[in-house]
Amino acid sequence: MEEEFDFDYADELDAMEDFEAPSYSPQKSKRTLCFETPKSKTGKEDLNDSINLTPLESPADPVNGSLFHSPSKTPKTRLSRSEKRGRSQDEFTLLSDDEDIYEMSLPSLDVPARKRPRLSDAKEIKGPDDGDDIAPPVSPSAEDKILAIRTKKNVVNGNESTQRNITQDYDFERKRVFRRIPSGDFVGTTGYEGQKVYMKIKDEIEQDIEFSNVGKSVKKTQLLAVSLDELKDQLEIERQQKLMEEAERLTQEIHSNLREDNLDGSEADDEDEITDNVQSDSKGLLWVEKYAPVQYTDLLSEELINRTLLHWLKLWDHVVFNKEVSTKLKDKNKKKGNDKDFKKKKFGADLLEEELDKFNRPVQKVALLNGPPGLGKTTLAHILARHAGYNMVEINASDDRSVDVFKTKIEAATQMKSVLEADPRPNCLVIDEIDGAPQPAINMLLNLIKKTDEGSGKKKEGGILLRPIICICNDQYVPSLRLLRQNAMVITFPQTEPAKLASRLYEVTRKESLKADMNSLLALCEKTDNDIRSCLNTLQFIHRHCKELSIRLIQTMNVGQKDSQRSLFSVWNDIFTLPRPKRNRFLNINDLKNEEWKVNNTSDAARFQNVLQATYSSGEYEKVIQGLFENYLECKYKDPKMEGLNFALDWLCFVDRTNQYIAHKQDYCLLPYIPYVTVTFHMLFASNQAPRIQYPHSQYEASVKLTKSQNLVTAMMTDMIPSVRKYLDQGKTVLEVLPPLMDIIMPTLRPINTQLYSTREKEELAQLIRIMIAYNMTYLQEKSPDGQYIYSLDPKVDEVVKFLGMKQQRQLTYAAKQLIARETSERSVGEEVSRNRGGSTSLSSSNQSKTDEAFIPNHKRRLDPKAVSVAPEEVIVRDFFGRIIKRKTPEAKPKQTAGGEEVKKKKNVLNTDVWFHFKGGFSNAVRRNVRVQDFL
Amino acid sequence: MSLWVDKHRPNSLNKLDFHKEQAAHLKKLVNSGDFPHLIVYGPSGVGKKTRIMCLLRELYGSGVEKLRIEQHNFTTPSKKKMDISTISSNYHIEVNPSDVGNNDRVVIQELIKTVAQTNQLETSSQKSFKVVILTEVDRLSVDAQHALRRTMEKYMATCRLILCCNSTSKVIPAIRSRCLGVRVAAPSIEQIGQILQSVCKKEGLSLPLELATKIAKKSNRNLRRALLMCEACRVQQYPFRPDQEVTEPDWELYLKETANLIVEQQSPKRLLEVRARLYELITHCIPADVIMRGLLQELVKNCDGELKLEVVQSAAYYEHRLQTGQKAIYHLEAFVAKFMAIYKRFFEEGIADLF
Repeated sequence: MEEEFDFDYADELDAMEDFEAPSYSPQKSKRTLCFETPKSKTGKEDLNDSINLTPLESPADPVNGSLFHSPSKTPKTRLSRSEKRGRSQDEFTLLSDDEDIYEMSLPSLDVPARKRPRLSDAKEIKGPDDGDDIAPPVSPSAEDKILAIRTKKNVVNGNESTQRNITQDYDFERKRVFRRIPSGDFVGTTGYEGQKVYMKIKDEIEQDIEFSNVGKSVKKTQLLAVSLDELKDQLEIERQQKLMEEAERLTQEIHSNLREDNLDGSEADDEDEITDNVQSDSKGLLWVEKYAPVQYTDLLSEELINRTLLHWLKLWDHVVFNKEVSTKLKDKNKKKGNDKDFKKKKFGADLLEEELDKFNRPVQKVALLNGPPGLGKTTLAHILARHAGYNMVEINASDDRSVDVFKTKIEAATQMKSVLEADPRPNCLVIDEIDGAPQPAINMLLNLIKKTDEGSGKKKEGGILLRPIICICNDQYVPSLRLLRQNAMVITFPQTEPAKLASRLYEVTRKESLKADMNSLLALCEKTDNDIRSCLNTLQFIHRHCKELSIRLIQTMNVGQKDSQRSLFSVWNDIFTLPRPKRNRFLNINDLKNEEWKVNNTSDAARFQNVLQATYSSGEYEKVIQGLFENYLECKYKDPKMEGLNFALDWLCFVDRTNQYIAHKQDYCLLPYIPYVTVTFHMLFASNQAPRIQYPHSQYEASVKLTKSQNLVTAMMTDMIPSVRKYLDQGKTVLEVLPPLMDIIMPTLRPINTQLYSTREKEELAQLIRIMIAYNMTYLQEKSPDGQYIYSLDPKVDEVVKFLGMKQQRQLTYAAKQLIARETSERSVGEEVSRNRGGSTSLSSSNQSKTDEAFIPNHKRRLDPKAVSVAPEEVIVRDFFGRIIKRKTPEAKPKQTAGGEEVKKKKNVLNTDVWFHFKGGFSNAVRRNVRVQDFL
Repeated sequence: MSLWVDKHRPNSLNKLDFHKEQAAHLKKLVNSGDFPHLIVYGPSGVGKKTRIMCLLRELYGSGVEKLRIEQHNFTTPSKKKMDISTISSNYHIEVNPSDVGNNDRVVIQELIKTVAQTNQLETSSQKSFKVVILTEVDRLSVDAQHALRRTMEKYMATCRLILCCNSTSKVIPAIRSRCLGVRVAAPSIEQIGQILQSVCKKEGLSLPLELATKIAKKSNRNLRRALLMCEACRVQQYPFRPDQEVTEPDWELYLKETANLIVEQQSPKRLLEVRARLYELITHCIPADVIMRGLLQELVKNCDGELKLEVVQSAAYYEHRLQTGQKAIYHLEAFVAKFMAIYKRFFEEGIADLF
């Protein structure tokens, strides 16, 4: 097992070893980095910056500074001397050249101005080593070198520097006596040969000042009374003093602490660390930053997750660094073959697909880290990216994330590389807080990922994503992330293990000389839900006003408690289960005053409080209560007289009425009473065994169904003929009309051709059709799920009437329904026409209504089909033999329509030669009766 | 028209089948030329609307029968758009403001004002006022009712309101006092029987008296229901037989079954089943108060004298809460649970007494 593991993760282990070996902290390397960057830019102005940087370093800084200088010193000095010699032959005026100033100041090592030449030297010499220095996996050789140099330098600094003084380096051969008048102050005198000579005067003090000012700034513009540099110096001195004091104080404290804690073993180490920490970090730093993990091994998150993500990053190596990772992996896969499953199960590698696509990139191009805040997601991403040799580019919520900006940023990060900076590492894009990003931006990201999938990217090489992208979010189920989630390697952060976290906290407390024991730290972890950031902040807060951390303090503290939101299911579980006896960890200060803080949580009061708190924390009272309502009946509890049930339901009714009042009056003063219903339910129905709680959905389903039925009825009613509609409303329709109506529209029809119906049957059919039309019903052909065609009632009001488990209604046959459907559609046209006709005739019957007709506004008039005024007499119809035949009405052959009276009504229309058949919707067809005769 | 209900609906006050005295009064009222606002109330299916339409016909002639359905659009102060359909003729407009739920106030304010503010053009040949019919006034929100009261007085010259509702108890007193109340009581079973028989005669069918009475009884003295049931019987089986089965609406049967379930067994598990059935009823658009009443009627049948009192009392209690609440299911279930508790206690006491 171990071997397998080692083999599998050889990469990572290697990398880790590389990383762990040196105690060389990346912070330091970063500093040297910064230190060197300006130099490469070669701006003289930058000297100031480099000077600024020095004070930040530990007191031993000059050693570090001259580190690279020492080997080259001798040649350099020699060189400069000869140079000077040459120059001194000219007029050696005031040192206007920078170079000279440096030469002059060289001897005094403490003067910061010395730095520039040294740096340039260092650059020349250290050139090839630069990469090693910067890249985190520093090779041991480089490390050795550095250490060696450092020790050497120490020696040099300690012994030689004191000996070296101005006199030693003083240029004796320099010309000091001039024949002519030199520039500047001089003293004239007579030489021993009698000629006039001049000697240059240099004020010692002035010279000193010159020396000290040298190199600080060439074009110095001073705005302050005291120069900035002096101020800096002062600060530096003060700081050093402070640090010294602090260090002393700390060492004393630590010694005392250590004595108390009876610690052994790592004493010396700790001390070192502490002094290191104290010295390198300024005092005001937040602990969160101060103790942020700086290397892979510092990470607190679960090893599996770290490794998975690192592994994923390593999969990119082929594309990014041209390293052959894939082959190795492939070999491994081949070799492992059968026990692959086992391996995956063990190490959870199934999160990650190891295959590479045709561009040799991992299949999942994006890693999505999600988890609650304060678990170190961002830290992990940063550290891993650095670890894997990438340059971090971060986009977070503070940046503008509109589509355009986002796009340019992503492209810049994934396709470009910093040229100007000395740091040649490829970029790794970290998109932090992506759950807040707008949907279009995320879609853009998705497109970028997908584009590469198409393969068309080969033509335009620029379009391919060649850099890893890590996205970080708190809630992976945000709708906008849905598609991204499918395409990404989703890594969910679990809670940090309390033990792990507590032990780290313990380290921190020791370093900060805060007395604390494991138990109280564990309690703190629990209180903050294992939120590392919150823990550290709380600790720092405590550190400010007292030096000891106790359980009691944490319990009573109001700081650090998260206003956490609990899931509905946990709330329901709390309500329906009796609490297990355990000591209450956190109590209110109020309780403390009463000295009752050791109350068992099984007491009624505590139960009351806990359930109430749980309800508050969920926030969604409505949902919680609905869940209670739908689950309480399945609980196991003793209530033979059903009184508890009544009581609970009374509470529900109360809540319902309260809600109604609140909603109606918009008066929220009654809202605080609502959560108490949960307490009632808890007291009545809680049992030791948690019931299987189901998410409440019946209310929602019911409301959906209700809306559906209501819509059906409304649809039916809107197009009823007004004279029917007038006497009905929705309630009456459902309760009184529909049930019998369903029976009425299902008469027994003989399954024969309608032409064969007796007059009575025909009359019945016509009646049925009339009813269907009056109540706006018809049959529509539909395809049933099993592929058969069926006719169903058009507004499916039968669904409203039908009840589950009631006796099935008689159904008409398919043929009958088809017949009715056809009749209805045909008749509804006729009905329309006849209604208008009938309306006008009925109007004409009464005197009064005749006058009314005039009042019908134009827009309400209907277009009535009018007989085209072609007198039928004009067309004399002759038969084949030229005899005049009596004209038959050209009414359609006794169509199946039957219903004689209807035909009569239509006659008027049909009698004309041209008519307009309007069947709802659009029609541009004008029909005309044309007989065969007309063509002859 | 098509259904018997519509086909044989009387269209003048003279032709009304029952409450003839009241019809005569109404006729006199109209003939005098003017009448106050009316509020017509009574249970459903007794012919309130019929009576109103007869009245209007008496007033304006057959022109009122030329009806059209119109859609009106409104915008609430909260910029919500609403549609409401009205049925109108040249002389009147009928609207059911409760169709738009809580926004009925806007309908009252906008629609009725616009109707009321327009005068009839030809006052010489016509009545000087229009009629606005408001249906289901008992479902109007209090706000809407308050919006109504001033309108009623202000536009007295140009319009008359006829309010139509089942019960005046939900109409605020201010409105009740402004209207002339016309109560239309349910016809007696004999009256219904006679009407059924006369309708059948007009249809050319012969309805046995027994069946007519049976239908009348089943109809709960609701004439509309009686006629529809009669027609359903006709479709199912003709010629009629005196002992013919009269189908009741499914929802009533379902409700009865539910009540039986409650009486059968009293346990949380049964309550859960009952809840599912109650949901079923609610989703079929059966109003909660109808469910409550139906349940009570069935449950009470299984109770002894003093128990009846208690059950009815608790039913009244929960129905009242139902009216003031939002989620009907809570209250219905509370009533069922209460009944179960009462019934169980009674039953156990009875058994205890035996021994």
